[in-house]
Amino acid sequence: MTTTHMGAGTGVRWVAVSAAVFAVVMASLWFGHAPPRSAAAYARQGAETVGYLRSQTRTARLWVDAVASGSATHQAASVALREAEDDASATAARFAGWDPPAGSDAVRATVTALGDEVTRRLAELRIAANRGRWADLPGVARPLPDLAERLGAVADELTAASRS
Amino acid sequence: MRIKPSMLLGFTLGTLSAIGGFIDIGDLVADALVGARFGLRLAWVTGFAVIGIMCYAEMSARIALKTRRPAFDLARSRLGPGYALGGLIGSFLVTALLVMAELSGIALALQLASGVHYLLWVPIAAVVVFIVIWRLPFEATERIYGLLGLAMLVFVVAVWHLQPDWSRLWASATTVAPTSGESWPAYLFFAVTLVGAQMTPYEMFFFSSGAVESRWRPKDLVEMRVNVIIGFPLGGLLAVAIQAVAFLVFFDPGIRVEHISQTVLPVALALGRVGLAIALVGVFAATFGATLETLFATGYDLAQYFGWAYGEVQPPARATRFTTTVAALLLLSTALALTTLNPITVTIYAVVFSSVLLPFAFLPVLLVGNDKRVMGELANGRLSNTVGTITLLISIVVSVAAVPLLILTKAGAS
Repeated sequence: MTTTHMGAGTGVRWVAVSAAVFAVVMASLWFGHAPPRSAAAYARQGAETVGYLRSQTRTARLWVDAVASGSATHQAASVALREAEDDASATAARFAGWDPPAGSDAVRATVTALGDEVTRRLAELRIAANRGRWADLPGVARPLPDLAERLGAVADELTAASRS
Repeated sequence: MRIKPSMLLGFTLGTLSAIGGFIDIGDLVADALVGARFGLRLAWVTGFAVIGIMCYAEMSARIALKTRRPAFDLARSRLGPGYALGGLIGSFLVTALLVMAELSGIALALQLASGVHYLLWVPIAAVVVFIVIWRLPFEATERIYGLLGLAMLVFVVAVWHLQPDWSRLWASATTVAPTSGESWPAYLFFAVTLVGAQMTPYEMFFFSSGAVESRWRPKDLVEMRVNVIIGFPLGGLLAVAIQAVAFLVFFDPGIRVEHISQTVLPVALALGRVGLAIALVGVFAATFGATLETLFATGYDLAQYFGWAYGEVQPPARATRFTTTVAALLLLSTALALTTLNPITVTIYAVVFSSVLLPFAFLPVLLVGNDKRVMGELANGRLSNTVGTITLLISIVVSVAAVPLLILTKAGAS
C-alpha cells in the first residue's frame, strides 16, 4: 500500500516537473523568437539590424583591403565575402519578416531599403571575387565606407527613438 | 637531477598537447566574439578558467596515478549510479554537440584554405578522423596535433604586429564592466560562455583516462605537473591573444564576430598571407585535436559507466564496444554537421550547456582527491583544496546562471 502511494506520488512529481520544464522551454522560445510588438521594441530591433548590417559591411571592406594589400588569399577572401553577404541577407530578411506596429512604417522602409542596398553591394563584391576580378574589388567596394557611415547614423537615430 | 633528452621531449610534447587541448572551436569562436565586443574586459575570466582547469586537471591526473581509475568510474563509486548516470547523460549530450562543432571547425579551416564550401569538407574530415583513430598510435596522434597546434602562437605575434596602444589594452584588461552600449546581462553571459569554452569537462575526463591508459605511475607526477603548469597558462595566453587581436581590429568599427574567417582576419592584416596560412594550420590542428579528444572523452564516459573494455592504446578489436561507440558518434556528428546547422551557433550553445555541467564534473574529483584513505600521500594539499573549492563554488554560480542568461540575452544577441 505504501509502495503504491509512493509510486503515485513519484509519478505526480514527475508529471509536475515535466510540465514545469515544458512551460519554461515554451516561454523561453516565445521570449527568444517573438516579434517586436511596440514601436519602441521595433525601433530597437531596427537599430540592432542596422548595426549588424554595418558590421557585415565593414567586415567585407577589411577583407577587400587585405586582398588589395596582398595580406589575404583569394580563397579565404571569397569565402569571407560570401559569408558577409549571406549574413546581411539573413539579417535583412529577418527584420523584413516582422509586421511593423502602428506608426512604424517609416522605420521599416528605412531599414529594409538599407538591407537591400547592403545585400546588393556585398553581392557585387562576391560576384567580382568569384569571377576572379580581384583588381576591380577596391573599386566595387568604394561605396562601402559611406554606406557604413549612413548605417551608423541610422542605428543611432533608431536607438534614440527606441528610448524616447 | 640530470635531465635526459627523452624526458625533455616528454615535457615539451606534453606541454604542447596541453596548449592544443585548451584551445578548441569554443575558444576560437568565444574569444574573438568577446574581444570584438568587450575588448579585454573579460580576460580575467580566462585567468580564472586557467587556474581552475589547472587545478582539476592536476587533481584528476593525480587521482588516476594513484588509483589507476579515471574520473567517471570514481564518480559512480563515490556518489552512486544515479549521480553518475545524470552526469553521463549531460556530458554525452554536450560533448556530442561539441564533436559536431569541432568537426565543422576542421571543415571551416579547410574551406578558408581552399575556397571550397565547408559542407563538402565535413565527410572528408570525418573519414580522416576515423582513419587516424583506427590506424595511428595514440601518442603519435597527440604529438602531431600538439606540435601543429603551436601554430596558434601566431595570434600572440599578431598582437605585436598590430602595434597596439598598450595602455589602452591594459586599461581594458583591468576593467570589470561592460563596454559602452553593452548590458551587464550580455557581459555576464559571455563570461559564462568563456568559462564553458575554457573549462570543458571533457578535457579533464580525457586527461585522467589518458593517464590510466598510458599507465602513468607516481614517478610521472613531476612530468604531469610541468605539463599542467606550463601548458594550460600558455593556452590561456593564446586565448587572451585572440581576444586582443579581435579587440584591436573589430572593436572600434563595431564589427561583430560570427565566423572563423573573422577570427583569423586580424592575423592576415598583421602578418599577411604567411600569417594567415599559419593561423589556418593552427585552427585545423586545434579543432582536429579537439575532435579526437571529444570523441574519446565520450567513448570513455560510456565505457567507464558500463564497464566495457576501452582505450585508444588498445587495438580496436580488443575494445569493440568502445570503438563502435566512437565510430557511431563520429557518424552522428557528421550527419548533424551536414544538416547545415550553423556550427558557430551550435558551439555557443554547447559551451553554455558545458558550463552548466561543470560542478557535476568537479565535485567527485574534489571529494576523491581530498580522501586520504584513497589517495594517501598524494591527497590534496591546502592549495589544491582551497583553489578547488573556490573553483567549485564559482562553477556552481556559473551553472545556475548560465541558462537564465542564455534566455535573457537571447544567446548574447542583446
